[in-house]
This record gives sequence, structure tokens and C-alpha cells, in this order.
Amino acid sequence: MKHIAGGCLGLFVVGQLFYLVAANILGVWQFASAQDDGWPTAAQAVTERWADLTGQPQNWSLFAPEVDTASTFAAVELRWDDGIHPPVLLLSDNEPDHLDRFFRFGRSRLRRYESLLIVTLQVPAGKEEDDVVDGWRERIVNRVRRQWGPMFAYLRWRWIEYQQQHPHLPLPKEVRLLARTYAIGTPGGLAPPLRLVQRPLARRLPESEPSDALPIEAFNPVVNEFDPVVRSRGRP
Amino acid sequence: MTDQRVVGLEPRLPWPLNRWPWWTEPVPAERLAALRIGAASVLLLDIATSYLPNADTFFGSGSLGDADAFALIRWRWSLLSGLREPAVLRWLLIVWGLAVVSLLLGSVTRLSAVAVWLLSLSFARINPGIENAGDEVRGILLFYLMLCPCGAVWSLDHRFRRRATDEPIFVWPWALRLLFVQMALIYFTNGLYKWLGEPWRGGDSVYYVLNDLTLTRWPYHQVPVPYGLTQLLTWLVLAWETGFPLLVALRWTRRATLALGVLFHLGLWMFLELGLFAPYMLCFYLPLVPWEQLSLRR
Repeated sequence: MKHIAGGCLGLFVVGQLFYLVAANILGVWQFASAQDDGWPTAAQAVTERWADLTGQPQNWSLFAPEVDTASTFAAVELRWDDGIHPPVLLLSDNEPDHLDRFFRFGRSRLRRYESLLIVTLQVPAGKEEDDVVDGWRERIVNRVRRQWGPMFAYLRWRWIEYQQQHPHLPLPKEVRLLARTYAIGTPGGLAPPLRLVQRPLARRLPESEPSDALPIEAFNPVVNEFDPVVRSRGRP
Repeated sequence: MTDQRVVGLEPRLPWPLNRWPWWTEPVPAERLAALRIGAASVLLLDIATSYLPNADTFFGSGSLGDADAFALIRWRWSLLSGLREPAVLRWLLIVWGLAVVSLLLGSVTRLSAVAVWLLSLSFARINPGIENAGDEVRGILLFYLMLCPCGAVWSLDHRFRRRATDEPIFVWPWALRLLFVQMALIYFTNGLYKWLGEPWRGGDSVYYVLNDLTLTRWPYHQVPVPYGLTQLLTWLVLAWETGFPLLVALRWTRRATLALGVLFHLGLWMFLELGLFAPYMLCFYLPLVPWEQLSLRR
């Protein structure tokens, strides 16, 4: 019996070795070659299932391959159309009150969650906003399609939290997700003064949730309006 | 080796692993115990400071991890899938914490390790939005701890075992070796991805990361690091991560490479708010310390 168990453990060790090398190298290879078919994809499907089953995801890339060239915080705006209640802006707990002097400790899990929701929209040097808004629109729609579940949960949670402190408030007409972006100065140059660019990304209409589209609408920066996002077959 | 007391199942390894002493010679059980105590301590801190105080924010109905926020895809599983009652989830967090205490003390160690792994993965998967790479490292450490005799020494199990003696105890090295391979691949894969990014090759990445107001502990201008130094650090990280498997394989570069790793994680922890990513990663280094010398001295 011990003989068989030792054999099984040996098989497991060898299998793990193959898995670790394959899962990591295949991930990088696929990313670098931008290929999405053939035997590496099939092999990766196997490694992903083992990762799912045993809780060993691989493909490690801390701050890589790209790093953010801007700091973007999530924010939420509550809007009513009753002419009584003005819009309310709810900043993230992760956004310091004073960006020029702060000490951050904790809240990394909330930051991680918010990073799933936001898209950093920057105009590259030498270009105008009109040149890049089509790309922005595509990125926003893709983000809503992929992350509408956590977006919905986040917008609902922010409203519930606010409502508990202001129980007299009616349900807002719109709950908007905003991206608040501060550009980082060019390396080696003088640090520019902190300049905030705030843009809407998505919204939820709590009173009228559609059945044929996602419950989150994507902001369309080309026409400055929100567009419904059609449900895709099968959840991403 | 025949007079050593070796705990646990010996794997029957194929060639060439069975001819390689690194894979076959037993190692002092203190190495595995140190990993158990380190990982359990960090996890206990994690539960006490980030999960439990935010239980209602992260888990259950109306929270960020409400059942409609994330779907379990492919073969991902969670024992808590569909569970929405905040009070029940809060109690389960406490059960998770108690299981971690039991693992830390080495009490009913194997069962505790299984419970900690199951709950760890189950909580991670009902709200993956709050999890980072440190939590993935945590899951991997617990996976191995669950499979090997990590309570053979420095544990209540050992203390109260009837045949407990002061003779040195050893364990088969397979789990520690796989964890070392895992650590090397984490760095190597990170290095490869970094080579694909222009900011890393150009030497700008560390500058941008230290300026990211969403991550840094303090604003860059309060403790400015000269740009030339950030460039050097960028290239050093790039070279160290990519070269890690080779550098630790060579005897004369091994200590410096590992020391650099410890400094790298301490630096990340000091400058950036990444939760407990750094301490979880530092757990990989614990089995590399000759803890058994402490036992011998006593």
C-alpha cells in the first residue's frame, strides 16, 4: 500500500513540475506571440483547469509589461432629476484628502476592487482628444462587458452606504461611475502641478433596469452620452 | 541516512529526480515548520486586519462580493458559492481564523491545514475582486502545507505525541523543492513580462510606480528618489527577476540573490500599499533558513 501511495506522490510531484513550468511559460509565450489557437492554447486550457481545481493560478506579472503613467481613482456620482437634490460626489476611501501629503496604510483590497472597474483615459502627447475618443469608447465598452457584475455591486454598495447616512434621500435617478485621473510627470523632468481630469465611465439607472441589456450603461465619449450594452451569450 | 527519523510519505520519483540528492535527501522538519508558522501568522494578521473588519463590505448580500458580482468560471469552486447571509459569512470568517490559529500552533495540524486551505480558497472565490497576487501566493503555500507533514516539529501535535523525543526529525524534501521551483518561476515569469514592456527596458518603471498616487504610502515628492536611482532599480529588478533561476543555481551568487529578494520585498512593503503581498512572498524564504540549528542549540 505504501508502495502505491509513494508512486502516486511521485507522479504528483512530476506532474506539478510539468504544470508549473508549462503554465508559466505558455502564458508568456501566448502573450508575446498574440496567438490564440493551436496546441499552446489547448495545453493552457489544461493547466488552467488544474489551477482552478487546486487554487494555484500562475502567469505572474507584477507591474508588467506596462506600468500606469497616471494615477486613477474611482468615484461615484449620485444624480436626481427632481430639481431638489443636487448631485453628490462620493470619492473613493483610497483617494487621500490631500494628495501632496498623506500616509497610506490599509485599504489595499478596496483599491484592488476599484482597479477592476476603472479605465484610465489619457490623451497621448502630440494628439488631440478627438483622435483618441473612438479608442476610449471601445475600452469603456469592453470594461463594462467584462466587469459589469462588480461595477453593479460597487455602485449599489456606494449608494447603500450613503443612504444609511442620509435615510431621507429618495432613490437616485442615476448612479455614475467616474474615473479621476492625475497624470504623472515625465521621468527626469520637473513634477507638474497635480491636475485632475474627471470623466464618467458608466452608470446604473436604479429605477429602470433593462431586461435585454446589461444593468450598466457605458459612457460614449464620442457623443458624450451613455449607451446600453447588449448582453452577450454566456457570462464573461 | 538510514538512522534518520523521517516523517511523511517518501515519493517514488522517476529518473533523473531519483538520482538528484536535492530531491531525495530528507531535510530537517524545522524548515517545513517555519513555513507553516510564517504563512499562518501572515494569514492570521490578514484575517484580523483586512477580512474581519470589512466582512460586511466584502461578503454577502448587498456587498462588493454579492452573489451576482462574480461568476465561478471553468473549474473554479467555492464551498461558499451562493451563500449571501452576512452573519453566516462573518461566523465562517471566525471559523477560518480559528483554523489558522490551530495551524499556527500545530494542533491537529493536517486537518487544520485542510480547513484553512478550503476556507481560504472559498472566500477568495466568492469575491475575487479584492484578491491580489499575495492571496494567490497564500493559496499555493497552503496547498503544499496541507499535503505534507508540516506539524512534525514545533507543534502541539509533536509535543503531545506519545513517542515524542528530542532526536532530530526530518521530512522528505519534495514540497519544499516544488515551492522553491514555484518561487523561481514567479520571479522568472515576472522578468519575462517585464522585458516585453517598454517602460522596463527604458528604465522608467520604478519611477512611474513610485509616483502612482493610488499605490504609494506617501507622495513621491515628500521622499523623492533621484531619477537616476529609479532607473538603476528598474534595470536591477529586471535583471534579478529574469536571472533568478540561474543566479540561485550557482553557489557563489545564491546568497546575494536571495538577500536581494528579501530586500526587494521589504522595499515593496515599505513604499507601496499592496496589502500583505510582501510578507506572503517572504514566506518562500523561510525554509531556506537553517532553523534546525535553533533546535540543536537547545
